[in-house]
Amino acid sequence: MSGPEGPKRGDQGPLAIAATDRETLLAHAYAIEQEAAERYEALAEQMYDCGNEEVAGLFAKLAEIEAKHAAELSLEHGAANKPMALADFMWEGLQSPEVIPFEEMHYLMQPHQALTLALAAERRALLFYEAVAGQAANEDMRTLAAEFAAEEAEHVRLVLEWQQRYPEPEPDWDDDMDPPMSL
Amino acid sequence: MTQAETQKRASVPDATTALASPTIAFAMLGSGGSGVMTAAEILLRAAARAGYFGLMTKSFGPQIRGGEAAAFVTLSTQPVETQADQVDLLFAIDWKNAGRFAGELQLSTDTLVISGEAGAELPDIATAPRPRLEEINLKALTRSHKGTRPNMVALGAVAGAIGLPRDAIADLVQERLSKKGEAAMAQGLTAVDLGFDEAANFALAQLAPAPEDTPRWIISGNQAAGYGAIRGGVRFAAAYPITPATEILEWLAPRLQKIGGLLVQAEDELASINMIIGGSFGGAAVLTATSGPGLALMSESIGLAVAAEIPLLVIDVMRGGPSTGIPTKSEQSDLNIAVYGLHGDAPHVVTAPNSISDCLFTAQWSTHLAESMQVPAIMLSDQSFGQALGIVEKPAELAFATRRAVAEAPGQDYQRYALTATGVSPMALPGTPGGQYTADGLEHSETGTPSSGVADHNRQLEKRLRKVVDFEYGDHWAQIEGDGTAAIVTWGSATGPVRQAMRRVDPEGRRLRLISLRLISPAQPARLARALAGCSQILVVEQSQMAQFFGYLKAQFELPPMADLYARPGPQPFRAAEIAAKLEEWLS
Amino acid sequence: MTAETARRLTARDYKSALKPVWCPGCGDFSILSAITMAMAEIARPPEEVAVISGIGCSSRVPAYTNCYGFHGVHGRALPLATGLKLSRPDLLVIAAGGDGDGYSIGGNHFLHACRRNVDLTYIVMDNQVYGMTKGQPSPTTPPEWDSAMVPGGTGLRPFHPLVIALAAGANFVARAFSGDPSGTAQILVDAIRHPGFSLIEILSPCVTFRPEEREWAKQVHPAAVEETGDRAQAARRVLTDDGFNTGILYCGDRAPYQPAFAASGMEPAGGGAAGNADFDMEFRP
Repeated sequence: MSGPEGPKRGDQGPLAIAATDRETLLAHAYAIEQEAAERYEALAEQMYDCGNEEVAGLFAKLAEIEAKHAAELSLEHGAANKPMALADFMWEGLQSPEVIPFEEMHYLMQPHQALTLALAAERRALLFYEAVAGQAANEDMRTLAAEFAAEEAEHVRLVLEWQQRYPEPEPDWDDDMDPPMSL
Repeated sequence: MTQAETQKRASVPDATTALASPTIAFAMLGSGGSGVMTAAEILLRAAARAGYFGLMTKSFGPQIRGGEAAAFVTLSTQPVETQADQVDLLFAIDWKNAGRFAGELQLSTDTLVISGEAGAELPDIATAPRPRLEEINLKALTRSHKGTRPNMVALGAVAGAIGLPRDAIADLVQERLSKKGEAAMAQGLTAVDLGFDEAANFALAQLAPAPEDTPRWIISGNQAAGYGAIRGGVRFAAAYPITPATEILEWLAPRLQKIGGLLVQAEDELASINMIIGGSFGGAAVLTATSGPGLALMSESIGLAVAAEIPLLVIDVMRGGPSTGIPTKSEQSDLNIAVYGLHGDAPHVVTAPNSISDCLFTAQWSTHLAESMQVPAIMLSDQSFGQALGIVEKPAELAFATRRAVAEAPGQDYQRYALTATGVSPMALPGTPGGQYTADGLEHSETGTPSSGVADHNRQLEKRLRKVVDFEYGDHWAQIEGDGTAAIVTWGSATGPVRQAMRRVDPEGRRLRLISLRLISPAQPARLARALAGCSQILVVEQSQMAQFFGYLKAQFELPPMADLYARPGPQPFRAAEIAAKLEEWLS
Repeated sequence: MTAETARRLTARDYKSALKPVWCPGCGDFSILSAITMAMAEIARPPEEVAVISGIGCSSRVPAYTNCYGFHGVHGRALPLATGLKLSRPDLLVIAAGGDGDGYSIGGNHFLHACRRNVDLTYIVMDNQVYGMTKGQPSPTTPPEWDSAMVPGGTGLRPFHPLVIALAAGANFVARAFSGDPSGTAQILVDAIRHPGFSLIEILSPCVTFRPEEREWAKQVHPAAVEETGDRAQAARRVLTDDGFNTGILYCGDRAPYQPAFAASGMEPAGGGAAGNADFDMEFRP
């Protein structure tokens, strides 16, 4: 079994990945984008529910971007066509690398922090594709993985840029004058 | 010379006592292990085979083994609703601690007391009423006849004294002893014959010939309740042992097994009620049985079943309360907790059988009500039904058109708590594709999604009330007899003594009217008003110190202000004489 | 079900559209995610799965799945799940809830569910606090934890669910961490597949009332040893560990309690069943 330092942390060593065929790698790429989109949607909902509309809007935007990627992958490569059982995916554990862990959330979080999490997620995806490219069985696979890695690198750059637009939070960012509610 | 011998000489049988009597009551006393219960049960069974009606109740000391025990039996050519006011015959195998039955054992100068202990000092309860005293030296008899037992001799003596046919007794004794072999069977018969021979020396009124041979059953209220539930479709039960409800569980467990069902012994009542909620959610008709303390523990989850609309049957075999109270004696004092014990506005069904055999009908009917309305039903039986053994007419076989409303093929727009015309919404059973929902104790919308909104709360409250209020209960809501202008309104185990008292006070049935409520809740004020039409007098009879039934009638029904009350607590059971005296006073 | 249709089920198929009420950062989100991943791996259709809970933050979980669910009263998830499983052995039944629900008010049922060993999977999301009522100590809260209701801490030794489960007879005992949803999902898959009563105690931080529990991510670590089938050895290990090692700790071979139940649960109840001739005979004198 995997320990807590699963794929979400992005700091695990090189993955033992043996992508043997194009379809399987495409299915992975599609799952990465699709799951990231879903997670961003869930996080956006959480933030809306807590009245943090700014961060909610930001996650919704990220969800939209990831969903668009997934759709493009599907359109260009037919990536959604291969049905895969969870355990057949090559990442360690059952969860794709580009999702932000729920535990990282805080209802008062600010855009800068949200984008820090998004940045880490993009970097984990980048690491994944780099690992796949490094261990690819043939040139075709290596090319495709490298192409995806390059896209993720571009995302990393974009998110970094995006993050610069927001100030870092003040030290008392998580102060709340109101007590929690009981249900 | 002992007291028994003195009085024996004084009591000369005369011809009048040998007349036939339609009803005979006897009691058998003995310390634990003396076999009085077995002997009394054989006598009851023999009477049933001969075509009589009867009732047997038991009284024990607080010991689990070895305490003094008494069996009370009334046999009659007519249905027996309650024990006779006094016994015609008392047979004591021994007299150890017999004094503890003072209050329960009513003797008179007409009573024949047979002491099985030669030369024993008789207790006050046996001598004070100045009954006729006789003696059978059981020790000497059994000593001189190898293998005979005192209780079998006593059995023969009682049978002979009251005129039960020897053949019926002999058959039963042989059936009972068949497992012990030929010798034991022969010894049993010898003992019975010794008893019959001894009885020939005493004159006592004999039972009048049995009525025409209609099929009889011997059944206890607890067995009847269990069987009624099975007839109603119950197949899954979970329960925690508690006196006096345990016999329901012990009767059900092997029989449910036989028909593919199951009874689980739970770790406590909180578990029992939740286990059956789980079973019912899965689609089974379910029950649990308990007594007052257990019902108190279950009440939170019965509220859950109301909110989540889970059908289930809870049988409360009432005993003296509060708290541990008097577990082996009866009282009608759980009415309030059954009706009002749930938190929130929680409409549910409360029923009550009015006789031992009605335990069967009411349990079946209650299951029908619960399943039809998807609601918990609490049936209030009590110890005096549950642990009494009655010879009754074979109960009719009834079939209700019971069918839980189930969503067979739920579509996209399936709503578990849909607002329907009847208030009952089809339930999707787990396993049904497309019907997935979460049953919830939280207030919810029609889909089952938790909601604290005003509209959802109002709609769901209204629906849950409407489905039980608008249901067509038919004539079963009450037992109504007679059309006199003086009505006695009662319920449960008070019904039998009231009915018997009515026959005495008003043998022609012109003055009195009996209204015994089988459906306690939801209240049926309009029906009761109709049933009371033309009455100039109303008397409410119940066995509860605080008059819970009377209070309920005043709160939920239109009870005229002239209504009178006769209420008292247990553990003393109501007797016809007590009620009849009250009726005479009330009518005059 | 064919292998093809099984493959088509994804975690998404087991999620409902209902939004959780949990606080952002709550470990229960990941556990819900792990539950749906495990379901996809098990690949039973959602309608054949029932998720049963009591009351508490984590007990909200049934409605967030697309399975049949029951959100009952506080502390009684296990008996309700037991009743359902015994009368519907065809279903996959999962009970879920928190530490207060399972170990305090439901403590007696916990003991007897372990002992009874019905084929259930019990997921306890342990955040060592009562969250829904705004932060009171639970049976697993450390003794010194200060709160409004128990100023200065309870001073009481925390309840040790894993050892108690072992002693009471649970057939599968594991510890997991919400911060590792994949690992949790894998343990859940094993737990569900293992016959009998399985307890999965999942450390799940309460970021609102126990923000310090965010540190758990740094403290948890996979158990250094393989699971054992030796109850005593497993008990010794969990008694002496630091409370943060995750993985399957015990895997036993007790046969589950499942008496025959032939009365089909899918048949609508009732039907005005007639008398039974054998039973009628019993009452003839």
